[in-house]
Amino acid sequence: MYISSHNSFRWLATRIFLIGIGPLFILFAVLCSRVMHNFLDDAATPALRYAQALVEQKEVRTTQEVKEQLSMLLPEGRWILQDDSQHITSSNIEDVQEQQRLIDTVHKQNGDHASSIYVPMWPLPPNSSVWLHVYVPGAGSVFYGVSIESLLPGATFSFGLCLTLFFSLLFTSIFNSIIFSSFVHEKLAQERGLREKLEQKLIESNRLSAQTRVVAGIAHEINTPLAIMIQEAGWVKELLEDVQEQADLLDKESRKSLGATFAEMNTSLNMMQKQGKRCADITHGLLRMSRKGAENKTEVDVNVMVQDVVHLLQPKALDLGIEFKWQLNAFVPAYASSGHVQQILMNVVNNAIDAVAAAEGEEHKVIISTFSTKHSVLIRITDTGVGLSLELKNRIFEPFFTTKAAGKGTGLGLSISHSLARRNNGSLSVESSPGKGSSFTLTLPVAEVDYLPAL
Amino acid sequence: MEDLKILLVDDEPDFLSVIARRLARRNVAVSVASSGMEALEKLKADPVKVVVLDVKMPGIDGIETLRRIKEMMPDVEVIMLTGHADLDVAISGMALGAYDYLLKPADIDELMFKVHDAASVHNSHSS
Repeated sequence: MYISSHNSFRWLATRIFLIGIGPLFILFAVLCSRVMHNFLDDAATPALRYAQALVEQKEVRTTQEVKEQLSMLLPEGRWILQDDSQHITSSNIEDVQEQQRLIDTVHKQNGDHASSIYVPMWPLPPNSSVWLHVYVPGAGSVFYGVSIESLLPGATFSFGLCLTLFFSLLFTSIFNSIIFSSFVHEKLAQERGLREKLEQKLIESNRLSAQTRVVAGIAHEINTPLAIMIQEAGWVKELLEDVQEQADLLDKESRKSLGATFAEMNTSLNMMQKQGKRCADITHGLLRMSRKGAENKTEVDVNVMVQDVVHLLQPKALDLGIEFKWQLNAFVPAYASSGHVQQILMNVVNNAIDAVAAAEGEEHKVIISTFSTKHSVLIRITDTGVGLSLELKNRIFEPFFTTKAAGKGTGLGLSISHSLARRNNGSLSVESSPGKGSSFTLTLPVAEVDYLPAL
Repeated sequence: MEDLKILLVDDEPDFLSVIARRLARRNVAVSVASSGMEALEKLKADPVKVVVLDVKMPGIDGIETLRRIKEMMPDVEVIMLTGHADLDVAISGMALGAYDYLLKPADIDELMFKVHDAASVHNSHSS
């Protein structure tokens, strides 16, 4: 299921919350009915006590009298009178079946010869009443029903309490549903942001690897014709040597003119071979970039790697007046192919040197630092070179993308490095600001070790 | 230098022709085959000391050809010729008993050098 707009997610969250607090509302209803029940009982109690007192002090002796006293206290009630043998003698309810049913209901709750109050339970039947049952010894029973409405003034407190409870519950639930839905909303927005970033990365790396596959395929196809061309050029050179030997037998004048031509041809053939080998370097580079298969990964001490590379490139840097600095703070080895790591470092550091050499600023520095986190070992190569604009930065890892003059670089170094880093389950990323320099970070997974080496 | 005879196996006829010409100039007799099966037949009919074998060929590939050659005549030295992408294959060929491998496009002098090396190893085997 895919829901596109924020609002429907909000609405969904609200509904989930409201359904979630449903049981709370049911609990509330039960509680309220209990409260109302008890308070109606209380509201009717004084009238019952009054009637009982009258009966005990023999001020009234017949059921008729009790009924009259009660109707003075609580007017407009319904009443049923019973004699001692539980026969209905008179009533202001006309339906006889209804009379019997009401008496049965009261009896079911309270038993026979006792004075009591009957309050109907929730849900209230229509037109229901609170019934007082007064037993007059020797005369019979009086059932006196008071409508709930007329008792309500005595139950105001409970009514108010219920109302207060209800509204506070309602308020809390609405408030919480808003909070909850905006929380969900925010979380979703975060997730979406994260997903978009990931997708961006995925697209990026897919694009690069698709390009890599294409160029590798081309490189592979070109390799054989290239080999043939180089060999044929070599063959012509050899034939030329034969001809040259024969030319030596000719007279001086023609030897001279032929010699010049032969020298020219030889140079040209050499150039053909040289350029052919350059092509071969490119195709090998491309194929290296795409090559699959097992690498012998081991524990690699990146600090040693960095020192090696610095040592190798120091002369070149010194020639260009560039200062090397390094800070080695990686305490755990990486898990990678050492050849690959060296190649990546060579490429990136070489690049950094070239970038610094091209820059006009006062500082000419390449700083290499290593450090490790729990899951990765990082090597950062920062330079004070020309830096990269956003557009360059986006394309820097593409094959054949180069800012160097034609013939100075193949445009493969960084793209090979990028794919090598990926093949070692690592990554190579770049941060840069134009004019200030760039910073390449190679991230490699940490080698699984049981111990921590002494620091 | 004594006359050396090798068998060159590659599916690209142009490549075969130019290498054969250049090796012939260096006093190496070259017979050529353009597939693994053909190589095996030629080897049976006319044994040589050294076989230069392309890894990537249609039909039975270089590795399979190598295995069969080694089965048939274990003494024959085989030099694998490979594009860069097949480097792993070439290395596994070494495990199968190939003498050495060369990256395409190979330098002719390098090839000569390895062929002579292989031949001397072969001679020391048979003597």
